[in-house]
Amino acid sequence: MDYQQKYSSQLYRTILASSLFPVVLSFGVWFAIDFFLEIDTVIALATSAGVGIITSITVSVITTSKIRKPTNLLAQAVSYASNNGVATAPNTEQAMLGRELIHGLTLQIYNLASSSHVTDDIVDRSVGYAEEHTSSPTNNEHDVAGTILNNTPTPLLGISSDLTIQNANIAFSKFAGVESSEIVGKNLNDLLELAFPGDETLESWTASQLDNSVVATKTWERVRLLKDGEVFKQFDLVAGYSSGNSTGTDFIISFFDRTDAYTQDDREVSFVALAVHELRTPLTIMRGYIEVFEDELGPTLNAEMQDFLSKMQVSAQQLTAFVGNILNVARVEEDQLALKLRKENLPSILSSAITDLQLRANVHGKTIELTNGENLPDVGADRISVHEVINNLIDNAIKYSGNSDKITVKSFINSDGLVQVDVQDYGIGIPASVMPNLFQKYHRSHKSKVQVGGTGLGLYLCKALITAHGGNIWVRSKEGEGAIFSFTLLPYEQLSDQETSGEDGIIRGAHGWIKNHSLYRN
Amino acid sequence: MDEQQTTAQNSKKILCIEDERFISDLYARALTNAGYDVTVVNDGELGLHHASSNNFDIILLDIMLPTINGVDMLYKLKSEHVTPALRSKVIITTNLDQKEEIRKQVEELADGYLIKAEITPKQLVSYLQQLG
Repeated sequence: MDYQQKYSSQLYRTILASSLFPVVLSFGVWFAIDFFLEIDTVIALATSAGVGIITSITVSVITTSKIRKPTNLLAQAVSYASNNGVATAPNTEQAMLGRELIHGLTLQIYNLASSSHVTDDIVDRSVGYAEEHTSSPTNNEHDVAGTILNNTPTPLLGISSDLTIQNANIAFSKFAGVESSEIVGKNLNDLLELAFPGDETLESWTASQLDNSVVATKTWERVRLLKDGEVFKQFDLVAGYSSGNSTGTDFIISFFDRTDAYTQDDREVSFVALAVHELRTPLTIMRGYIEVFEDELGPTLNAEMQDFLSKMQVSAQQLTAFVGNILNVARVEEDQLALKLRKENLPSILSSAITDLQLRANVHGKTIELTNGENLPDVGADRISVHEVINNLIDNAIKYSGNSDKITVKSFINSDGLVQVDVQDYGIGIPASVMPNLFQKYHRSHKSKVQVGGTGLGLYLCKALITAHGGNIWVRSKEGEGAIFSFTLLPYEQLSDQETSGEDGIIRGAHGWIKNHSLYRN
Repeated sequence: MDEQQTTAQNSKKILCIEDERFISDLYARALTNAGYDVTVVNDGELGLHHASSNNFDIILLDIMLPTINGVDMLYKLKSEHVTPALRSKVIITTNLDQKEEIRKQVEELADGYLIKAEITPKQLVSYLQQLG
């Protein structure tokens, strides 16, 4: 850097000056004595040599202390940053040589220290800067670290284990659109309405770290900040945890603003929904006339023609389900899908869904076997949504069952006392590499993309719907041996214990985003 | 009138307000075959005029309509100021997804809500039969 060059040339000049100065001075003394005073040359020489030596010693003492100062300051900064019993930060103003360089290096040391877990202390003291920078900072180290944080363009927050905000930088207050004076001391959930795209929220993660880890980091993508129910910002979020530091800041959270990119994605979903909407009217008409044909011509047709008619019917049905899926995903995304959980008999939902799919299974040469466990309690379910989930799972089973011809559907009470449904196929299975992302939007088994059509939205929707029911959905699979998709629903009694149901049943919103519920309040 | 209703349940009168002619043809055909007395109207204002006559047992009401849309018509028909109160059951038949709050209001006022693409004409008939 420029500062380093400046320092080098300063150093060079100082050393040159300090070595030349005694020589020049002693020559000067010798000349002066020799010229003006009639003294013996030997004495003149000795005097000038003496002056030279004394000056040389003095100059080197001064020079050395000047040159040593920066090194000392740096050493002090390192000790301070690593908490080696050095209580005060070095005052870089003391450096006469390379002041700018030392200042810069000291900042870097603090910066490095704050990014490792060793010295949260430094960070803690400094991130309070946003709060306090209006009052004149009295101590220097506060000023230094605060400057770093406030010049960092990434919004940062320091929070304690109970989610009280300890510190925030200026970038954060700009990002969140909150006055910096209103940040520190607030509970994170009071200040920010965050919504997470999966099950794990910042709050659930922080709670689990406190018991389990010493140091941990976690990244979320597509987190939303809501304001008055509207999406205000979309961003990736990184949280770091380190246990046992005395200042109370246990978590440092960084926000990476991606609002523009993610909003663009959302617009695409809305656009697709709009376009898909237009398919509904022609579909209604096609299905209607196919039905007329089937009713009025069916009995007169030969087997082959009847098969053709079935294929038309199945395809129209499939397209209808596809349109329904896309529109529901759009509604999930926009938080516009409300479910009414009522007391329902699960086997009746299962058999009506299977009846709807029977024709499709037949056309593809598959049979669907349904077994219902005994004494199944009624479940709390939104009939249409559960129907849609089963429809999606069986549809997948048909698509991915390869040469096998059997699909089994089972319902039973599992060991947790929940009502579980297993949909099993004996086909190509799912590669282990794609399993973790299977329920994410647009994610599809990459190997099969070419052979098998689909939107990659079906399982995402299933998950949103089942989660809204309070249930779980998961998959077990071995490549080549088929897959078992399972989901659970709560017995109605259990559900109604938890919530009072209105005339319309229990209303639940299905959304792809889970709010950062507070575990500590309400 | 009592006699009519008791003798033949299927001679119920249906007003189908639907501007998509292929769909109204399909519905009229299926409903007539099932024994209903069907009147088809393709326009909102005309639909409102017919509906206000209070002559129908069931009104199938589309939402996207020329002149007056279905939601506005529903509010007019079910308004408390209308005397005598509408005796017809109003079933919304639409392919339009509504925002949740609008949908909720519509569902409260209407006696049923169907997505046309999700049902075939025969399924519509069996739905209406279950409605009683």
